[in-house]
Amino acid sequence: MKIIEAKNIEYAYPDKTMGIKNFTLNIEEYERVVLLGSNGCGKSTLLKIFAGLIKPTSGNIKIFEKDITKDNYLYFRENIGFLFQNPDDFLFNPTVEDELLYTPMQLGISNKEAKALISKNANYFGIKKLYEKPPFRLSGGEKKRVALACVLQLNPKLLILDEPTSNIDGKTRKRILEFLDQYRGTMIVSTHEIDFVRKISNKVVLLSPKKELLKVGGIELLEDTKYLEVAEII
Amino acid sequence: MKYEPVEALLKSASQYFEVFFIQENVKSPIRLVDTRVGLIGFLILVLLSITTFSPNKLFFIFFILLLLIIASQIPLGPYFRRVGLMPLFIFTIMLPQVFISSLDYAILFTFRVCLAVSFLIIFTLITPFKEILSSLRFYKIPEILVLTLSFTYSYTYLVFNELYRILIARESRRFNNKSYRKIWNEGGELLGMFFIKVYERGENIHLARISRGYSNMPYPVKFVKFNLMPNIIFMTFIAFVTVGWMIL
Repeated sequence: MKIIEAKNIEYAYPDKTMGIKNFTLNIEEYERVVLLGSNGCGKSTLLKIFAGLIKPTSGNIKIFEKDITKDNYLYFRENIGFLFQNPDDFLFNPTVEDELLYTPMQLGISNKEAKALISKNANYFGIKKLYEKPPFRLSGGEKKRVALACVLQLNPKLLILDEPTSNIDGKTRKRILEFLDQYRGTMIVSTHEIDFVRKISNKVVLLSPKKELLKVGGIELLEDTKYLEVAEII
Repeated sequence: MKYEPVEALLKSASQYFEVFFIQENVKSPIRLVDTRVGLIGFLILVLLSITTFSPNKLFFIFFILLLLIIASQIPLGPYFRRVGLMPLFIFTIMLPQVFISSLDYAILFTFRVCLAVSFLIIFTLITPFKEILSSLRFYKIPEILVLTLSFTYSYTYLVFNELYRILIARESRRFNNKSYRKIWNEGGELLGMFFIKVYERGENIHLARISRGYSNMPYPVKFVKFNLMPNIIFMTFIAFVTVGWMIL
């Protein structure tokens, strides 16, 4: 099954600044894809398009072989977990417990079931003791763990993570890596940490600073310094 | 430094409003009263405060306020922090009335608004906001009003947190003592930047909501188990206060 089928997609911001140019990519089920590129090369924009949160201004995209339409909205939300780069943008409820309950509640899961559902992830990420705290009072690493636990509530088929290891300590990083190692769905992660890519991915997508697709390949692409230099990774 | 009083005030204000609606973790006996009943009771007290200019009645309500502060066992620090600036703010607005009407009128007006706001602050200090929203829905308040209140609550923190971050960032990169004219100009830029950043962050939060299945669906909130006795005691108390207010 094709999870993502993007053909010549482009995205322009309202002020006409290009976010991504002429981008074509297919992602199959269970692939572990890493988007690699320098700052401002369009990684976050692309991930938002893959999550069905924004529509490309031109080109075609299918997610789970479905178009981005209102009818498919609920299907995407149930099956795609999306972690924002900045947890402050992602966490907006009064307490950590409310944050965790947000998605199950929105999808009409009963209060009792939702509480049982969140408990597992809360234990795994060690955030149960933070339940009563407002998210904005947490440290950077704690926010990231809460955000990740929120994303994983419904065990999504497609997991999209925007720089999951930025601004976190070694222990949290290790825990996230362990988790991603165990995760068995399709995964798309953006990063500019080569070391991280080696540990979690089997497909590398290089983006050029011109916001275009530079090269798609396996993990061996990381050894090709010519491409990495053009992508301004090294 | 010239800019310090203005920016220090803005910084304190942003920190103050950031947590303005956040419920304190209080184990208040008034929490035994069902939120729906509590909401009606507190609204009656607000109405009693704002529908009179009689000093006797207002002092009677003030006495009731003191009783409620003691009974609710709220921490006095957060309470006074939230109420503290209110008299000054309201009196400033009422200042023209000192010349148009009288000083008594301005003082009594300030007093009664402070009383009304105090009751609401006690209520929000001891009640989780989602229960307040659910109570409003229970009373069939139009959804658009409840949603507006809900968004105000969610975004209050966001707006003031953004202001605080801009102020801190500016402070960390300022090295010299500028003229008042320059400070005034920069203040305008700060305001513009503040609105743009809040708008952008608001958009990101909206996307985050959508990514997590936002469908405008209200939270199914479970109220505290309905115990008849605390509710009867509370409403009897409110009834006595109302009768006392009418007699005075």
